[in-house]
Amino acid sequence: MWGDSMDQVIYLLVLPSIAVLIPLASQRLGRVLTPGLAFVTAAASTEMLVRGYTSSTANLYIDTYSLVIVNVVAWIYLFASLASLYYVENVRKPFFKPRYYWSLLSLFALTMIFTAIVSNLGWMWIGLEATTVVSALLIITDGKKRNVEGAWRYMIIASAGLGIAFLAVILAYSSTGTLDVRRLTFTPREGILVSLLALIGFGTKIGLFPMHSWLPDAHGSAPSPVSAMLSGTLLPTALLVYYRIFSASGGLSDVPARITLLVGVTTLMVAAVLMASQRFIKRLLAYSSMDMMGVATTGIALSYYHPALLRLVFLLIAVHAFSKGALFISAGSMVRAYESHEIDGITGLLHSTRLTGHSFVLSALSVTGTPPFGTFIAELGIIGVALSISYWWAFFIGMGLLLSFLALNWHSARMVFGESGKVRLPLGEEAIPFAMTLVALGISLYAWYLVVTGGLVI
Amino acid sequence: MISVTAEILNLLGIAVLLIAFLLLTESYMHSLVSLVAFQSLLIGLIIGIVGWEKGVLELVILAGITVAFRAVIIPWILNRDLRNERIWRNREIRTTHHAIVVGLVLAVTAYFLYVPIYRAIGDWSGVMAFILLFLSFLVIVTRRNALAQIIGYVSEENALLYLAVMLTAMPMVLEFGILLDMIAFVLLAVILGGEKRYGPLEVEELVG
Repeated sequence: MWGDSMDQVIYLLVLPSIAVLIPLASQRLGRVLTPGLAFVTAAASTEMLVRGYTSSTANLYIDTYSLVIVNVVAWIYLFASLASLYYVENVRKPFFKPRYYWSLLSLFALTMIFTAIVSNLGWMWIGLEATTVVSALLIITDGKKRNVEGAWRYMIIASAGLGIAFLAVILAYSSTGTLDVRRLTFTPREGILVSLLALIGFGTKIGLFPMHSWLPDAHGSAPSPVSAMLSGTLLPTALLVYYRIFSASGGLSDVPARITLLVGVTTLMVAAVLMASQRFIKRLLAYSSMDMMGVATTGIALSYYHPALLRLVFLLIAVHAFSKGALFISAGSMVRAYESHEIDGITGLLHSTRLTGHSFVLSALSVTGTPPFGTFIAELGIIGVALSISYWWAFFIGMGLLLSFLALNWHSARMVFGESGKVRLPLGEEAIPFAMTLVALGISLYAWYLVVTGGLVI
Repeated sequence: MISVTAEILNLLGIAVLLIAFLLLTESYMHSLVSLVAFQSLLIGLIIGIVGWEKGVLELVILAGITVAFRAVIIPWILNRDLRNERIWRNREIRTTHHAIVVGLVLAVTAYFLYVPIYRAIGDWSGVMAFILLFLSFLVIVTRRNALAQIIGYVSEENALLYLAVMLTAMPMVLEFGILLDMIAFVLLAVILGGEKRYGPLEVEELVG
């Protein structure tokens, strides 16, 4: 049943599992080994992506899209574990011992990788529900009251949303008799019903508009490495699950595509408007994630009309993950160095901490779709396809993108320029977000190379 | 299915719905805990009967887990916590008095929302679980106190498993049930740990 390549997939699950267990035995060993294991996982997943690995067995379904998500999860997990080396030292009154933090961090990555590679809708749901539990526990690591409240709101809203998603799973099973995403075939009526429920249910986890209210609290109060994983990897993982249902339910009727498009564009507009008025740096970044997920959802919806657009959507997800991770991790360092959660309290980054300042500016430009970053190519493609449907959709998408560009970069400029504070950060801590920015730039340059040589034409 | 069993299941379903309405309006924490324990017991009975009737071992085990966790252990943990905290003894937790009216309207709405599901799959047997799901959401939304919201969550969990059992003999329903219970325990751990540090948590005080 398992092909001879099975041994390779199993590494993606076994290595993080080892990383879950080691810190429970010894915290010091966990600190040393977690980044190493994360690196091996990430390297293995990248090797599989480069080789063009795909697999379709009884329980696993791995195509290029799941591999992109696995890559993003594994690499962000590596960077988050490196940033955690600096974070854990500075927690004063932790809710639980640091060893559990390390263990949960690996478990979080493991549940996301699991969700991305299984073929069964039920297991995907279980994986996502497990990410909720694990990430909520990670959010309360700091043990402050706002962490507990953020985690509480997150768990209640996310599990209510996943309740609706469970309904979608039940209906998918009772109308098709299978939960295997490759064999889901709906009649138009069933397709609309299941994909609508999935949009509400999994959309809660993606952070789509009417169900987004947990997102700024959770992302804003989580430890910064965890925020990076929440924004960069958890939201796309949920989006991948939604895409699986969406692609099964489309084909006969365009109603799911139209509704998804509407929700995606609304999310984009709402997040763009809310971003301008934010006071706290991490909440600003959380709204920016919501904004990008709006763009990605719009892209998924438009892929119904133009399937080649999907590759650009996953390019957007990959670049966004690294840039947003860099933003969150540098924001965490800044919050600690300046002792202020507010944007007003942080000035002169370019003078005081050069590397962090540069990576902040570049990443803020990246997540708002500025060339040369890959997000620009993706957003251009999305607007192009939207134009072929209706000018109004393209207009609203363009307005949203423009607003979010202005809002985020205005806030970023306020923090980066100005008088320099007397702030120093360890070089290693500064290097982590900078490396992530370089990775985002590298992916983008490769994407441009593909565009020029004709490998990424839509 | 034999019709007597179907009638028993319907009766139990109605009892579960009535308890859901009580959950909306009850103003003392102790009674709230007893009510949700009783509801879980009834849901366990329903799952057990369906499992027995269809001869599915998984469902019988699920029924046992439901009774053990949600009718015994979780209420026991909650009650122990309530006994330790003197503030709970005579404290009325706030509930909106028009909640029952909203609940009735919502129940009727849910009934009509079930129509598209019926058209898609041609099965009415999930309608009571569907209504219960909406009422549980209402409990979570109208209650401001974190412990009362856990009660709402347990009720939601009951509704989901009830729905899954009534509609189809779905594979993996046991795994779903265990995971949902684990989440309930994590919710409890988070909130009891938080209350130990900061006192009762009310959602209105959420800071931005």
